[in-house]
Amino acid sequence: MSGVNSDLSATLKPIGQARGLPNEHYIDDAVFDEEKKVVLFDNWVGIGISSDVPNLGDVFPVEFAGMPLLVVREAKNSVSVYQNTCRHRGMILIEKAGNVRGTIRCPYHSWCYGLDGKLRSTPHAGGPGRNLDKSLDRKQLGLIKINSYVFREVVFVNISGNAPPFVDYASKLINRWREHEKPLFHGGKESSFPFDVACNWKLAVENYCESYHLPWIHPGLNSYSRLEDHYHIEEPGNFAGQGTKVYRQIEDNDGLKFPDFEGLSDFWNKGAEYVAFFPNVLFAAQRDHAYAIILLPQGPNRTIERNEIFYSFDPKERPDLQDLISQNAKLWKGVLEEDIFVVEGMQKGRKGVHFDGGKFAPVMDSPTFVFHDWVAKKIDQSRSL
Amino acid sequence: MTLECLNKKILKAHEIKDVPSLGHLYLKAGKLFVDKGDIDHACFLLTAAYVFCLEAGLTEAEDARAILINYGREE
Ligand code: FES
Ligand SMILES: [Fe+2]
Repeated sequence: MSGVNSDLSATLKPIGQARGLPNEHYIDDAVFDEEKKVVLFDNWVGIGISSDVPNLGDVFPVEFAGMPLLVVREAKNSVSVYQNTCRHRGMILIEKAGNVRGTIRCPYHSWCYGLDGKLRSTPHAGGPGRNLDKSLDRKQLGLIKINSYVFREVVFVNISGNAPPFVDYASKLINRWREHEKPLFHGGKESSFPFDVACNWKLAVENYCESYHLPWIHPGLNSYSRLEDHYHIEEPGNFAGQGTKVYRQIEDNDGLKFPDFEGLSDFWNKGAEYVAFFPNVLFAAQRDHAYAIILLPQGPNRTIERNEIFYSFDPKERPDLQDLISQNAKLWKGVLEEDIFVVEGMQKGRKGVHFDGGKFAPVMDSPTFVFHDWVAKKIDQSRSL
Repeated sequence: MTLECLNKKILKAHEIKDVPSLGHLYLKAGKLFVDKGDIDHACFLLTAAYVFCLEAGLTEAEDARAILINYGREE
């Protein structure tokens, strides 16, 4: 790509010699646009969760890195995603989440689209009271459908349409967590807490990949989940993160716990895994609840983090667990908030003109390096085209 | 209902964005003009009826559409 020049040669080296991605990848608008295309739009990115559209006809607009998308509950069990732009003069179709009883009507000249995206009416397009025109083939003018897939309740899209099918793209994670392929139920209002963070989205990924910071940033957590009980998770080109061998379930004063996901092997009695699925979704798999953090880039130095917690049971059917659900949400919110000053601080640090991307501590930072390496290779490949 | 009264109701419904009422009212107005033999204006109104009925998910959308198709204005 012309006009963009960050030097990736150091990032592309093996971990012992490598440096992290250069500053431009965190602060520069042109590099942000380049990454938007080759790192985000060409891959499968998370944009929301299926419970954003619980009921038939629910619509939920998302601007993903500037791209207007519309998530639609098209049928009871299926979610579709469209470009949220009218095929006529390009008006934004839906600006607020809500429910569409019949068709989606463009607020400008009232062209109407079904929940299936089909163009249903083109009022006065052939003159007042005349809705037909021979040049206007409605079959060719439906809403632009974006490839989408729901995995662990996260709505993923491939905006460019160039990525392999999701089940291939994610096959390694799907296989790793095969045992966890169980229905997930969102914990409800309190289990959804977004953060508006002053950092590049990649810093949130990088911080999530490593356990190195636990003793310093999460001393509370470290008292029972010690650094030495963690292991690296590395799947180059796909995902990276950390696992723990001493996962401890939350319980209330009476010893009440959340029910486990059914049929998990013994490993999960004490095991838990935390994985950054490239590019922008941070997952947790644990015996009794799960969460997903969806990173919504707002520009080079601002990110909305959506934190969403899920359970093995429908919270509406377990009023006795409500208190524990809210206690758990508070607990995670507290832990995840502890990371904010770090990612914001690393963002500030990248204004240092002599910063060289940073040296990796090979033993502790290798999952983080796996992410840098993935990003650098994506960009390098596209530049050499 | 007189035409004047219908007009007032339509404006009110626009004001409060009452989509189902807009569908019903435009349909009524459209049919009135069909009866009067002013097909162009009838189709203009029925087009609005069709759109609002579609938006509200009302079955009357098909009534409006049928008349429009009859006059070669819709497919
Ligand atoms: S821009 Fe949507 S109908 Fe004209
Ligand atoms: Fe952390």
